[in-house]
Amino acid sequence: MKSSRNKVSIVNIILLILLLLIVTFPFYVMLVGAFKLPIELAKMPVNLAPFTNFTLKNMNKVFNDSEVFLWIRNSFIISITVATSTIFTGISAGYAFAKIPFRGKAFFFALVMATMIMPKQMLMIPNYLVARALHLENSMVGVILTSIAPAFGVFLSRQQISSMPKELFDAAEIDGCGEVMQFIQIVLPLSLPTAGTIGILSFFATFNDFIWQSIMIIDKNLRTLPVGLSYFAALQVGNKGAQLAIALIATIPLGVLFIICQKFFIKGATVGAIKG
Amino acid sequence: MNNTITKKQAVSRLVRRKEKWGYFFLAPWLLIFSVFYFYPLVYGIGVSFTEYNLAGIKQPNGVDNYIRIFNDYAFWRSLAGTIRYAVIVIPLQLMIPLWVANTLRNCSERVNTLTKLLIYLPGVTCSVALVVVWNFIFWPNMGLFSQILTCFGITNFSIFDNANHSIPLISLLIVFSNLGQKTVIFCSAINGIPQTYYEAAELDGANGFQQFKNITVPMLYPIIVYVLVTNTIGALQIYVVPQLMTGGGPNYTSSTLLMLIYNSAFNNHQFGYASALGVILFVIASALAVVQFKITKRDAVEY
Repeated sequence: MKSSRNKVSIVNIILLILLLLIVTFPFYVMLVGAFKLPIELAKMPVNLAPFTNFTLKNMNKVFNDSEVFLWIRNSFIISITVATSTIFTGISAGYAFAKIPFRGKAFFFALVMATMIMPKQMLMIPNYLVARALHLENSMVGVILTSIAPAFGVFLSRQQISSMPKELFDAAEIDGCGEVMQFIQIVLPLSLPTAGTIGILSFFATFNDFIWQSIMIIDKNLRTLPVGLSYFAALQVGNKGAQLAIALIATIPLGVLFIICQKFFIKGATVGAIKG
Repeated sequence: MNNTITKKQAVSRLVRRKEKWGYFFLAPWLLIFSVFYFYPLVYGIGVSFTEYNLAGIKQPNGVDNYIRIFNDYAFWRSLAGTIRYAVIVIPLQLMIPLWVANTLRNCSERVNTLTKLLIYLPGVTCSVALVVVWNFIFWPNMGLFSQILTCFGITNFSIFDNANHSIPLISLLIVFSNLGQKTVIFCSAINGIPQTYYEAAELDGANGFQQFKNITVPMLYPIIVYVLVTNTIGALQIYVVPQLMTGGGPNYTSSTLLMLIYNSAFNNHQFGYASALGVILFVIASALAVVQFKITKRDAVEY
């Protein structure tokens, strides 16, 4: 309910517009620079005017000299599998925490909370050593298994499954529905929106996880988009046109997906911050 | 009598059966957590007391790694660097989203949606792609930034040559690409504050800033603490942007602890040393997490 709109001062509006310009400027540079000859980008003054000296040379270079589609494909395979696994481990553990009494519940949930706060990056080195000992290094399966978020999905699902009416589960129990059937017939269907939030957030987090993937992946054919992008950008260090072109290509898949799935981000952002 | 015992037995059998299913549904998470989170944590502590090279040969060396760390100027510089990034990133990543959310409170739905969309966009973009653009803009001698400086008569200036310049720049770039999530958090929290509070304040003649200071901030106190602590833990993890822009240089002055960990392990192949650094970083982060638990346990303002 917005009662009075006149209170926004002109100064605040100008500052807000300025902030949005700063935030979106890199995207503008990407979009314009990707279609300019490198010489236009290295001259004085730099040509960043839209729609002038349009060329597809950079794009051709990216498509010919890099395996960007393979990288995108790898990133999608890894991220979708990680998202699906995070959803299932999350909802399954969330159901146990929310509806089934068992010993040690408080202890295990404390572990979930601790994992929520402690980011995985802190364990980068031992995690890598363990993955290497298990021969998971430099393999798709390894990247997937080590990227499944251990806490976020559990926390969100537990919150949501707790709010499902107890009567629903009692009725199912009376009808002779066991835990597995309750999980399949009640929990899973009612958890679809939560699954969306968990899936989208872990999909994006995995897709952009440059540091871990650059550690785990050595093989050329396993490169993901962030890893391939940094490799290609380093290779084309003098060619700013090609660099901006690949940056643009790398931004498009997630940018489009983000615009489609906005509401999941709005929902997911507040997890942990606001009760309920 | 007999009847009661069987009932009790039946109940306990039911509880035990339920318990079994509890562990069953917990198992997938527990497996992932144990193998890829808890075990590495314990293992890392163990490795930190060894000399561990690329070939995987472990040689116990007591607290040598820790002694070396505390005598290593790279560690102190990286610690100082971490703090220098943090003191810029933490407050700005709190104040800017809070200000944006407070401004959006009085804006139309359409402005709200558009602002949130644009401000969130860098947050979902691969940071490597953003760094490519920033490196182009701040390209020494050639980029847009240098050209603007040349207009003011400053030539032959590279912002990456001096950590006093590169740390504030990189911190700002990090802040501007991480505003989205926090803005959304503050927006939904501000929407939860009853409109009547603001109306009453208005009747009393309170201006916008007074309303912000006396209604918004106190009502949002728990959220502010939450964002502050997530910002702090996020600041301890600054890695990708400085690594790709300065590489931590010159001579570790713009390095962070996480960068030093990465470089010790994967460039110098000293896994024991890197694990010891990891333990130190983990202790710092845990201490901050405990503080968070303590503070957020305190009850929020109820309305």
